[in-house]
Amino acid sequence: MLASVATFTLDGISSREVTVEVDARRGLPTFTLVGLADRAVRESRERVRAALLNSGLDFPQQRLAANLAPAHVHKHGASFDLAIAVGLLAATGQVPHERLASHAVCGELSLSGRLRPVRGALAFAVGARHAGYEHLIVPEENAEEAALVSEVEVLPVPDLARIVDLLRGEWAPLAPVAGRRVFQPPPPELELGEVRGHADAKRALEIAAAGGHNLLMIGPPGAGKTMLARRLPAILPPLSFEEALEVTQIHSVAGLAPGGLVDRRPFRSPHHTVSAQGLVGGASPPRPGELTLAHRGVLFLDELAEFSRAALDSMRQPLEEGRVEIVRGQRSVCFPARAMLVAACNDCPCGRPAACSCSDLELSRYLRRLSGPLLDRIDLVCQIEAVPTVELVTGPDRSRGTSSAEVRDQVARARRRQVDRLASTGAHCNADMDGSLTRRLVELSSDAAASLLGLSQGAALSGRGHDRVLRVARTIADLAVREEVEARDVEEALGYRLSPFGRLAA
Amino acid sequence: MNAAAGACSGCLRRSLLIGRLAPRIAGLLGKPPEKRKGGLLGLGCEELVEALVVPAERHDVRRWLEELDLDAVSAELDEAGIEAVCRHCQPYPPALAFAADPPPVLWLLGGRQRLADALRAPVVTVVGTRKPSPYGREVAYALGRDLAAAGVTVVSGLALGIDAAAHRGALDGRRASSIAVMANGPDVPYPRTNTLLWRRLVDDSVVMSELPPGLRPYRWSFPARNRIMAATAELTVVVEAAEPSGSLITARFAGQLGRGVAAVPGRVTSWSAAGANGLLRDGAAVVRGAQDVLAELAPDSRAMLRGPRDLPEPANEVSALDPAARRVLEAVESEEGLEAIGRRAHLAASDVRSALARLEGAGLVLRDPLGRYLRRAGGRGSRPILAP
Repeated sequence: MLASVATFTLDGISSREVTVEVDARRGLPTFTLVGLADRAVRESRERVRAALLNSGLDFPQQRLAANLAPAHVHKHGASFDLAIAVGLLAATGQVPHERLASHAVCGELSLSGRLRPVRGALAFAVGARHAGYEHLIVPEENAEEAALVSEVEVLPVPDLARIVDLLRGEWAPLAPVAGRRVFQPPPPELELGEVRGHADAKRALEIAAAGGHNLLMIGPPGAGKTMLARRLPAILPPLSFEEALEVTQIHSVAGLAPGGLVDRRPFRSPHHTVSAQGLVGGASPPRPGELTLAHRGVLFLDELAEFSRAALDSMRQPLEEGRVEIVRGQRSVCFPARAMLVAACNDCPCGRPAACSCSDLELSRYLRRLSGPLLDRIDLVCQIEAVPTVELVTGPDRSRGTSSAEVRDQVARARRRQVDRLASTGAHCNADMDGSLTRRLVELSSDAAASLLGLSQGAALSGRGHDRVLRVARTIADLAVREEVEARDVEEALGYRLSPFGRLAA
Repeated sequence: MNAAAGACSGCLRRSLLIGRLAPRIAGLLGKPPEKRKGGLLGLGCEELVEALVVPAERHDVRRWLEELDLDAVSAELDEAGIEAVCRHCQPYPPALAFAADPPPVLWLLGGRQRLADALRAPVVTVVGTRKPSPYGREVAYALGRDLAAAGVTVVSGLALGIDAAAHRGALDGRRASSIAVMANGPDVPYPRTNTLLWRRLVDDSVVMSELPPGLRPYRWSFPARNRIMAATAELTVVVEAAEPSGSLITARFAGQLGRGVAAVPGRVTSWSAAGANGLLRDGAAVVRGAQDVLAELAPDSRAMLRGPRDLPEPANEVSALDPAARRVLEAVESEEGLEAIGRRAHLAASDVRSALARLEGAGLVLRDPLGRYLRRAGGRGSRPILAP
């Protein structure tokens, strides 16, 4: 007898429908699996056999063949276990066929017959909706996440025996709570208001958070660059529901989702030994890299100068386009990568501010390592200075700044203005605007235009640099709740631009 | 035109011999200064051979010297656009000809005429450390620019740091030219970082050296070059120099030759200014700007000058500033980091940023590659000195 069951395979961060066909007929008892399956999929035969027997079901002594269609798509992972098992049960008449037309299934089997969670449940649910299935059977742990897709009824199931009951119409699971928000309050030590001094750096963080701008912090070791960057998540604007779905889907595919909606902007800080593949994604099957995991959030690169040139260069195009296109063999996948880049580096190669004896040549060589096209994408450059000890010890409440919550409110308000302005353009924040959008949407007052013209002559601004200044000025005006960009906004934005790197007179 | 026409054959031979024996001089002068034999570079051909070549090889060297085809050398020089001037011919710097151990020949790029023009003006040597502070670099640049604008020829050594800044300033100052004295063949841009500057000097000014074309620098050729810089100029100005340093060697040569020595004061806590401050303690003239240098030059040469023509009063620009910018400008006098400037000026971070952008645009402050701010030396020009 023949049975077919619908399931999904991951393709980048989205999914693709796979039909599992199982044929059972008399003959020598064998079990073959065809359809470009990787090792984990082929091993599923053993899991399925043991799971069926341990669930008190019958594993038929027949000639069994399972085909994963379409046959040209590579299949990997263990999420086909359940579909193969259900196909076998249907092909041998242990469960009725009727419900299989409207139910898609996914799940990994343990030998005991229990269902284990899979990566990418949200992507599978999206796929199920797209393919028109009314029900999706998932392991219990994946239920909340999959239930974020409202048009599909998600059926969480604990083990194989329950599925048999379900398909026979003898049992129905409780509907999962859809879209429960996983709220993790920021740890108290990451409060921005506790940072003493660093008024300038806090301002830079505020602007960066409000507009999604890339930020580079330069300063001596121990001055507080990392400390400041770690406080950035506390002031980021909240994710919109659509953004949260995107982030959840990515994290689910990468196996990082906590189960449910990811509600906070991601903050990724890979170590500087990360490879180019680790940063932008790769391997086979292609997996998202740090840049994609930081989508709609922050990618923090501490000790920027220590990253390999290859890794940094690999981010150039993704940062420009907001997505990563990875081609491996005959398949190509596209990962979203709209992250805000925050980088920190020392201000000289030796890293000893008190006893620095770096020559100009060493310094310019060091800066040149950083420079190049990556720095072209940096909107804000901020020098971090060590706060004098006097201020750390005695300068208490005077320098105690606004709290994270207050800054977050301002940032959120500025971001709402941007979202309203950018509605239907595809951009989410000022940093997303491309050149033409920038020139169309950034209204300069006549003073501001004159100021920009006057100051940019001395500053030798390139066209790209010009746009960057405009975008940052737009964000500064948004923070001040002004529709028109004024001269001081432009001036402040100009103050954050990159110094003439690499052009150090020797 | 015959490139070697400005040099007699004896001098040419001697200079080429020095070039051939340069590696051996390196061996001999590798010793500490007090054990060195002085006057080596002033010796005649035969004495040079005896001093530097072991007896077994002397014959070969002498034969090489005899068979030297000066016409062929001259043709090669023509090809490369290099000219030679010996101390018996014009326009060899007269001040140099009467110093001890004058170089037999100066190899020139840029042409005899330009050297002659440059030497007609008063000549000042500006030297300093290869690792200057932004302050030192700015002072050297402003000094070079304003001296050149006042019609003074600025001599320096095309080294990194102060030397390069002084050359850049002089080239930007226009009216008079700048002479680079190299410690290697004039056609070898060294250090390589300064290749563009070397090209500018060759195109607009003069590059000269005691060593024949094609030679790399040797350890001994740097102090040897310093003696030429000191002897060529009436006054040697040390901008920023550590202790000990090549700049102090130049100053010592200048002192021994009876030329003026002046220095720009630096912070007493900075090791890179220790040499210059030491010179001041020992009686060198204090230089706060081009005006002090002009005052220090001999009265007759002052008469030749029309004075620094186009040094505007920066005070005008300052008075036109808004209050916030003026407060920030005052703070920049004593602080360089943006955070510290803000603290001192009692202004919000956003106001400091925008004020500094205005000041930078007005050419009153400059920013180094690390984002530290510095008050620009007075004078015209909002031209950023960090531009290539």
